[in-house]
Amino acid sequence: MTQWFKNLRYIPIKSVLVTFFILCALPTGLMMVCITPPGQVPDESAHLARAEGLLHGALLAERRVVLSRLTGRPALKAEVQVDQGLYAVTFQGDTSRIDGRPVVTRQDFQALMALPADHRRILVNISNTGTYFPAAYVPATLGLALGRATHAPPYACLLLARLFMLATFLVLGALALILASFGEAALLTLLILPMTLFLAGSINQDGVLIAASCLSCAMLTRGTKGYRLLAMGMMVVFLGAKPPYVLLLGIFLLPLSGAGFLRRLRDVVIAGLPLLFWVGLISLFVVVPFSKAAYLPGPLYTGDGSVMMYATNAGANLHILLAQPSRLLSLPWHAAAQHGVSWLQQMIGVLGNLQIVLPDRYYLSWGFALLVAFSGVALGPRPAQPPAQIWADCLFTGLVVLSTCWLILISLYVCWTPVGLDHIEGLQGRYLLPILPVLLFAIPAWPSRLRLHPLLAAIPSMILGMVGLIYVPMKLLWAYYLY
Amino acid sequence: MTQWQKLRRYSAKSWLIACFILCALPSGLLMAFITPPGQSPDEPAHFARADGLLRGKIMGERMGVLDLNTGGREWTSGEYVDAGLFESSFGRNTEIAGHPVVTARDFGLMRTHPSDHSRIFAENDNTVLYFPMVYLPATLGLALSLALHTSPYIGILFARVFMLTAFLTLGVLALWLAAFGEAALFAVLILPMTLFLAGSLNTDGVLIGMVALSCAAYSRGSWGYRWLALVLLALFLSVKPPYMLLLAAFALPLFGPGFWARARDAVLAALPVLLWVVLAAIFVLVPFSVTRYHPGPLYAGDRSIWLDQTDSAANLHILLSDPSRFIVLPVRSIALWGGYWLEGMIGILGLSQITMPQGYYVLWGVALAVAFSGSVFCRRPQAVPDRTALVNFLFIGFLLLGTGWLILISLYLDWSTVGRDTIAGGQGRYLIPLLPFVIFAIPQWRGRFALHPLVPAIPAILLGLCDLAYLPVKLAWTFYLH
Repeated sequence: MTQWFKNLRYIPIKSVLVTFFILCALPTGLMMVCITPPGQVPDESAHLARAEGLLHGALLAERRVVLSRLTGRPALKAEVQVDQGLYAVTFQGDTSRIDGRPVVTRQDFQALMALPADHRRILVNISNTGTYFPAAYVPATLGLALGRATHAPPYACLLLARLFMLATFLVLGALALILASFGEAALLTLLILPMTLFLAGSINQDGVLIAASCLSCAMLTRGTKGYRLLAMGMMVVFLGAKPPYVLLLGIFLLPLSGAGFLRRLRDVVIAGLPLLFWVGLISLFVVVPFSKAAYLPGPLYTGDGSVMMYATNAGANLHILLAQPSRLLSLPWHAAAQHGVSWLQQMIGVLGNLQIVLPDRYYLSWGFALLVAFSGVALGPRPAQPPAQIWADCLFTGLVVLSTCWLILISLYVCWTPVGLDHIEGLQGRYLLPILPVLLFAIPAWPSRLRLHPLLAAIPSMILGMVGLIYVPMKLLWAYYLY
Repeated sequence: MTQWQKLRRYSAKSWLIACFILCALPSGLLMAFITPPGQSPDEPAHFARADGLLRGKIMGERMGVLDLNTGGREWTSGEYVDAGLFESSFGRNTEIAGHPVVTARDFGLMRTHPSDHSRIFAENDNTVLYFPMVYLPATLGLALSLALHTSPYIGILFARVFMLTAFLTLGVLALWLAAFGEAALFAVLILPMTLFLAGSLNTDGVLIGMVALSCAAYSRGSWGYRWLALVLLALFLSVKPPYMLLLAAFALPLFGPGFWARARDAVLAALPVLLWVVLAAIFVLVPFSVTRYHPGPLYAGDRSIWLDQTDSAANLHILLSDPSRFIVLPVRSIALWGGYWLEGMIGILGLSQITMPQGYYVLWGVALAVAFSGSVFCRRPQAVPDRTALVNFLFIGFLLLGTGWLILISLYLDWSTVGRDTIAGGQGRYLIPLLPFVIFAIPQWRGRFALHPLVPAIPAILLGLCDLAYLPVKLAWTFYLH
């Protein structure tokens, strides 16, 4: 027994965190995979279409002019060919509505299980996911491939795709915790947030992307050239799916005043090139305006306000912004003031298709856990030469984070919001999650000899993670199956 | 030292413990919360015992009540319990297509069931005989819920979580202490049935953990651990006296020095158990009330009469009148239900209504076989001579068979209706506490080749990981989908 105690002493704290991450994320994620009805995750059908298209070699969606079902008018669509049976399954999760919410009855469930395979190819419009760089879909694609190879029914294929996405998330998350030189508690907290785990157990790529962002930042904390390049590669893959986050590349310039700044700048520029190439490619061949229900332009539109519109118009909204440049700040500011709290709640966890809201106390508890975990970055131990040690670097990182948020909002106004609206539409709290790991570099080391044990800062989130192990799956169970 | 090197320093034991927690904690918790109250075997009866203990009732009470059938007086056992909690322990459900289903209305009623701390007498003929030690975790859970003024439904959940915590603690200690056979213990501890029981008020989960810990402590071989193992087994036996023969395992090695000292220790350990059994027989034991029935074909008297209780003496008379029945009845019952019991040992959940696919039972059977047979090739602290290993194998085999036989005979005497030609009441879960003892029957491979202790556990680990999703989802679909 003495030997065992000796062995116990050698178990690194990091391993405890990794074990805890698996303990929280694996069962919760698995329950999400199995309990969440198909299509009850944001844009799951569009994500499935992208992953299934990839299985057949469709790296890019195809731009076509088709008659819009929404408006009855010709419209540009970004389409991909998809297995009909598989695509149909993503709409089977919302067949019965009781008290205005989707529930799964036994009949629905049996119909879902019995849904036959139908391998005919149909064209599906994926104006949003069609533009995403497909790397993050590879796990789901592999899951679908396994399903096809084993002649599994469509529902089982969907579950396999979700399962593969979850497995990827777990691997990336565990690697992030293993590799991080500091800030493990903050990363753990991000990785076990209810929203993160809900996304991780779905075909929505955001779960994998959050883990990729965490891994990228974790590698950057190590500070060596090799890890820096790996981190940059990971970040570029992430940005391929989320170009509006491009300013995050700025953290690879750190330390601003250290030797080799120009070399780091060169690396960032080089890393930006494939990204620019991808953005150029999709702009040329894929990007289309998003179809909307017929609407009249908003108050900021200076043209004929009575003209009916049927799609977004990036050019028009950009013109509105440039016509009065103060709108570049006022619109995001108003949006943040109006929806900021709701975004924060969504960041922590508003599940399903944004209809499963958790109690306020739960959000407060997680907010507190996030606060403690990130405060721990300041008080926790750091390697001898941390990449972000000086205040200028911290301020710069803060600026990077703020400007990324700003750019996301502006891009949503330009690309997603109907023409001329005086507010920004479309932002969801989960969009903020991949930005949070970058905050590790915005927090300076506390200039004292006091050093907190890395586990201490993780304790609140560990407790909440354990509660979430039960609470989050039960919440979904009650939401979808209890009626 | 790199992270990878640090990770490699984890011992196999630590990995097994980590896997155990990873499999057992989430599955157990989810099952504790998903399973509606009253949908685990005898849950209200177990609750009554735990709540009775909270009021200081070490033993239940025997009480005379009016027999509605005969108008005479009959005896029943039980204890006074909190009315609100007791009613909640039955749960609420709606029968839909022959299945108990929890609708939103049922769930609302369960959650809002009001507290009612008046004491009512809960008839409880079976668990009232059990030594109450093992109910302590559930009792603590109930105490906490009362202290926090929670609703009765939350009180039941608290009690379940405390039982699960006790099981996890015992399981971790067992894997930690075991000198060999960790993979086998691990497989037994994460069997679906074990985890289902662990997340309920039924004591069987904690008892399985206790037997596993007893065997693990015994595997270390030192005097202190042997006594710890004996005490744990005695506690187990005070709840399950028909397993009494298992104490003989502590006499091993039969032909080694100190046999008489070991036999004395086993007898000493049996004394408090016997004392408890006698006390329970004198003050609490009553025949089990059952729905009215005619005596079965083995009854030599008038078979047209109506009975509404079991009758140990009558069934003992039936056995003694033709001693071959001591063998014939168990063999017939095994032939009839052996397969079902094996399935039940692996996992028939709920009130024995939630069965798994056949392939699932086969896979778990393979995992158990690998875990136990793999112990042959794992290193042990002490090599046992071949002849001793053979004697151990035969002796433990005899003990396990004998215990199985004794369980069946006691079920015939105490539980089966008078004159039946089969034994009623056998459940697969009764076999699980026997499994940890199998590690002492397994001989050791003496060659140079040795398996890493983790290797035989791999199939069980994989199945345990699958069960993380499968078991809770299976329960959720059964109880909530309609």
